[in-house]
Amino acid sequence: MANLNIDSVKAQTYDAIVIGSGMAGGWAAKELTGKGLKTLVLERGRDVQHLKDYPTTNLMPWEFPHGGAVPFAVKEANPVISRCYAFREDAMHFFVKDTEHPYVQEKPFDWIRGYQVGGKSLMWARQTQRWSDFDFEGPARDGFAVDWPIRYKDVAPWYSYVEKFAGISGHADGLAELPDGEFLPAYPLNAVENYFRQQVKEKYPSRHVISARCAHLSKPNPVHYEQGRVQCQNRVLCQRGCPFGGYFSSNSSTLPWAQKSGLLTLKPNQVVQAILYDEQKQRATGVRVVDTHTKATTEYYARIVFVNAGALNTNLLLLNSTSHRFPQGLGNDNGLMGKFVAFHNYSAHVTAEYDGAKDLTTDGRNPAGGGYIPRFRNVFKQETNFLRGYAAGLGAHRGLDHTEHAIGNGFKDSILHPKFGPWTVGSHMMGETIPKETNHVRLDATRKDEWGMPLLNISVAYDDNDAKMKQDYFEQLSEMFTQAGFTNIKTEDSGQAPGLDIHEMGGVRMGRDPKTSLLNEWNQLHACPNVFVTDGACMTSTSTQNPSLTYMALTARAVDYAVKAAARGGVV
Amino acid sequence: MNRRTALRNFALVAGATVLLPACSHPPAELPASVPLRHLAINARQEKTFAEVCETILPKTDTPGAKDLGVPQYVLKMLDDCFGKDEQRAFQAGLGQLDEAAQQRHAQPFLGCSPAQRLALLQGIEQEKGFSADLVSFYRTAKRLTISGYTGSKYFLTQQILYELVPSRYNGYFPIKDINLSQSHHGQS
Repeated sequence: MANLNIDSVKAQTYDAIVIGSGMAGGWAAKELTGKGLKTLVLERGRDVQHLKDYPTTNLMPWEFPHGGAVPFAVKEANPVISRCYAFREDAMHFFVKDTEHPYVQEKPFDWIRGYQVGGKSLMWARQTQRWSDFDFEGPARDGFAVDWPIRYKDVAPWYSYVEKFAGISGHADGLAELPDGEFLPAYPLNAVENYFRQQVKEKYPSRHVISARCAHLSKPNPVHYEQGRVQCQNRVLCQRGCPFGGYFSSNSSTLPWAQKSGLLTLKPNQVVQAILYDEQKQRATGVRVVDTHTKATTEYYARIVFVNAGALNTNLLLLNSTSHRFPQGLGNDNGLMGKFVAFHNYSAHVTAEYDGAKDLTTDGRNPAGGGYIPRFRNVFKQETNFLRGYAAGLGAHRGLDHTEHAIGNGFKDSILHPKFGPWTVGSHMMGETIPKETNHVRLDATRKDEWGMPLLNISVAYDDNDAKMKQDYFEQLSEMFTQAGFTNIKTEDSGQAPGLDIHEMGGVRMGRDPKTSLLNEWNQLHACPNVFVTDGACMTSTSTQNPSLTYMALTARAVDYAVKAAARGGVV
Repeated sequence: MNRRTALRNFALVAGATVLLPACSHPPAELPASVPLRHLAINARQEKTFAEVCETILPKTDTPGAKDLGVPQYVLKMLDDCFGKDEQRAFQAGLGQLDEAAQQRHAQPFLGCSPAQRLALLQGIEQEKGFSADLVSFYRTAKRLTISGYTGSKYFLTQQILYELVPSRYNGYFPIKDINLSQSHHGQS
């Protein structure tokens, strides 16, 4: 019997375990296997294989039973996910429905999830910007959260490393507040976006409109062909999964790459209930998982554990990983785990019309979506009555106009032979929110899901700083649009709850001091250093950038550290 | 049921109606040809509604709404994708259409000439003395008739070409070079 147990333990033992296969988990898998480690990736959702499991990818619009709309019964039963812009008939199979995985909203919070191999990297909006030191130094300068234990120089080489592999299109704009990267050619601004760029340049010297930077192969390099990916074909149907691998996802890029090493074991349908802690060894020894179909529990073992379950699920898992040594959750000696959760404020839009460039329209589709306005408020010094600031998306579109005739022959003719209407211009706010102790997640005291995990109780809300910042965004964008000669300017407050931005972050923040943070500068739990957290949970503050690129860079950096430290016989 | 099945069913029903005398209308007690779970629409109302769609987008030298199965598509959309309040308003408005036609043209909508139908719907478009439900019915019908027509295979292959794989983006496309029915046509 003893031998059998030893054999079975051996069969369940890997060099490293990665929990989650999304943006961060995919990178952990690629890097760990790339450095020769036998790696187990555990994914709670079903398998989704590149090309094979994109059932809607080549459907024409008329082939959808409801023209893209979600049936009312689905919306009624799943109000949270139905508010997500990408939850449409063509991609609804990649999103978690409210009814399948309940959670507790102590305050309204739209938790948008993708439980499958690849996670949300399949359906993400693909916008990628680097942080600068104006972002990393934010908490220290402005006196909130704790100081980041890292600076731009620590991450810059890793941004370069992941950008080259993922493929990031963008223009070298030379802005200190938004560092340039290893860019493939940028997607161009269109006539009106470019006009606005010029107007802003003339009238606001410190504000910039640039081509949106995104994870699309505008011009692939050999390393992308080697992944089996080719040039983006401007379909802009990315949320269905891309048959060209035109945008970066775990499914098209990091996971197949890891697979080629022969060192990857990928197990879908496995919910990790807890990370196992050994008091004698003073380290994590593995994980306990439950199979989502059979409900059987199994243990797997490894020297290194990467927790990449998605920001809030990473909090849930660590809080649920209790032991005699860690009664409040793994590594949670200071009781701060689950606290200081933050997000991005996406609840504001400004739209307008432009009566110029009448002889021009666009042809084809722009996968970058248009332009990007980097944060211009409080960058170099504090200058407003609120802390921090916002970036903004910027897009212009030439619409069709068939309003001349109400109905009948003339109306039909206007639909078959449409005239062009004015250009419409739209902007959306991406505001930094300040992490606060009161914005937190915790394990529900009584309720569990069918896999034995406590439900996550989410208590996150906007604050006064968010309201002031939103007001400023409305004023500034309206003024910039006015200065550019745009008309019919409208502000819109969507009133949406936190979470719908799908940029929830924090709860297991990085910092220098184990008394006030959970992770060190290498994303190791201070109190259990062979456990690494490199997804959104690690974020000390949020700044305004779309966060995925930073998760990728932090993950690759942490793996490099972990493997080198292990080779030295160090802390892991 | 997908759109294709709807069209196929429609073709079967259309074939069957050839056997009926040209002037007859389906009796009210027969159910609609489209399987409906929430809307209570009978065969006569369905036919009335098809003529509403056809009045909005009539057959000319190009197909009309009926040719493309738009009425069936609209009813399916209403049944599957709309809430109870909108469905109720639609049903009530459709029910009031014959009454409105009687008042203005002394016959039910189906008995009206195309010109009378057009005049009636144009009046509703301008909301001149019609009930809220009738106006709501008309607005919903018009919106879905347009999306059904412009989302149809015919429209997206023969009129304004939908390209699954454009492989290009030009942000400065001259409007004078537009040909919407061909690739590189100047639409996003």
